[in-house]
Amino acid sequence: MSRLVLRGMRAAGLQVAELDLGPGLFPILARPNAGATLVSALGGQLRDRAGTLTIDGADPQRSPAARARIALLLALEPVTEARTVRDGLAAALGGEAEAEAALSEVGLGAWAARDPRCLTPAERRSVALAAALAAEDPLLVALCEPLADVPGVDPGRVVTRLRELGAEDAVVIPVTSSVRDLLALGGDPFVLAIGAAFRATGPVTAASTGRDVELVAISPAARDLAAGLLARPEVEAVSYDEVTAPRRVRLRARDVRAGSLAILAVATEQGTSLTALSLEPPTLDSVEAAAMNAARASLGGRPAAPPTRPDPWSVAMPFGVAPPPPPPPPGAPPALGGSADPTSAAADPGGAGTGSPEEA
Amino acid sequence: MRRSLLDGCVLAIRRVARARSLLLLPLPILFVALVGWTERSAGAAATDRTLTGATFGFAIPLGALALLRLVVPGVRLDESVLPLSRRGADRRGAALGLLATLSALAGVGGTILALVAVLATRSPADPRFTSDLVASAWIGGLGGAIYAWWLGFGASFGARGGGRWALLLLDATLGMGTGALALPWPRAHLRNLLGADAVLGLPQWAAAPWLGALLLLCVLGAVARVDR
Repeated sequence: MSRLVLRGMRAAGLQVAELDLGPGLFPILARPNAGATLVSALGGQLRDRAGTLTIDGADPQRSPAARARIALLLALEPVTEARTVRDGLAAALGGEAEAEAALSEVGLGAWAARDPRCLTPAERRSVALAAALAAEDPLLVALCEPLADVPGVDPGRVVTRLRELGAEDAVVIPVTSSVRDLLALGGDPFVLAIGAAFRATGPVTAASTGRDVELVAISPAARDLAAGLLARPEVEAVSYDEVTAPRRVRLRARDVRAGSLAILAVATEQGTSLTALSLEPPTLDSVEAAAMNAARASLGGRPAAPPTRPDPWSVAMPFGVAPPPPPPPPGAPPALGGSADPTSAAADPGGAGTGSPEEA
Repeated sequence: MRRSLLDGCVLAIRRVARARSLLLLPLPILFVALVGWTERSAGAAATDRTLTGATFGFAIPLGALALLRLVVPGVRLDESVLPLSRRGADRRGAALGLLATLSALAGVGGTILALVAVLATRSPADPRFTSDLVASAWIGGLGGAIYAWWLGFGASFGARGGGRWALLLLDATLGMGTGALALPWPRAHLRNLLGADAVLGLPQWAAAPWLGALLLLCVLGAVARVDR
């Protein structure tokens, strides 16, 4: 049975105090640099690191036999010397038929005859992902952003295959910096923060149900809806882009209930219909902060201040619409059924925001 | 290990064969030939000047560096065998195979360049033509091979294998002397083999064993610098 043990591992931009995993799917949420470093280390391709890293008792950095059973997708895949993508994969998988099957499995069958030197870095990652998913009986599958920056790959097939591998005897570790991808991957997620790996379910839930939730409403009259929402005191910010997403309004509210009720109230006032209403996944910053707060709470310390970062919200309203009012001061009573209690909303982060309703 | 060594050799040949820059191969040959013809018209000892200057001073080390650039392209030596190591190859074996192939190619290149230097500076009627041709050929081969290992070992230092440049520069500066500082550098002993001033007064026959010892050190150093 596969077993991955990380203990006191340190490398540039990465610290993991302890992680001990058996077979299964364990997506990890991490900063992009830390994630790339972690995957390199897991694949035995990072010389400058300290600490213990073993897969089935062998350090992949020093054990070619262990590396042979690790399926790897790096952040930056090197150019291969093969004449075609098919040849390159055949060397890794043992035959041309296997190579073509691996490519077809993720929707890249048409790439078989391409010259690997003509692939973009992202396309090289797609090919490497196809090879990693086709690995036979791996001990460890370590993938850097398997759902992002892999053009041509069907994400649904990737998730399905990762779950299959996890259900077999492999330790499957997809690393991502996107909370949305983390939720899409399922499994037993972790988050890397303050040099430790925490189970991510708690922090993601805490971040989703805390302050500053983000909601997306899809409506045929999104422009009017956005204008109406600007006047609502429980709405902290509204984002509407008439050019790129004319049917979508994003808003930030203090909690899910207040934001949802505000949207419904405005839609009712205006007599407009809503096609969909969804909760956006929390940001990496807020999940990290929630993880740190949980850690501090477990040690009896005070919660940390929320992360300071530039406000990514921009209001793109048509001419003639008044700018949004300033957000209410903290502690002010919410209007029209809004709830000041951030814990009052029972959001399901796993079910909400894992895909754009408009795109669906 | 043996399989990894072989895989490393194949990887090196593929990298060299697929490189478009192979079209630039005639350039060092033209350079040495041009310098040789110029030196020949300048007077006596043209062969010595062409060999110690243009050929062993510039063309062979820079040619080895260019070949290394194809085989270990802008990365550290251990990272250059990533396509093999991720499939379970022994990195040390693969790196040794890579450098051994590079060394063979650079040796052939060195031999050709040395031959061109003699052909450009001596006429076939010269009584020393044949002896110079033979001596220059093997010294050129040895020079190419030793520079390939030397620079390959250098590529195991630095985040992107920049140590190769450091060793090249040190060899170009310190290797020109004849004191104790020149002892570790291939250039000094190659110059001794070619008949120039010897390092610390060492006899000419001692230069080849010294170069062999340096080559062995580079092999051991490369093995030590690369994880399995």
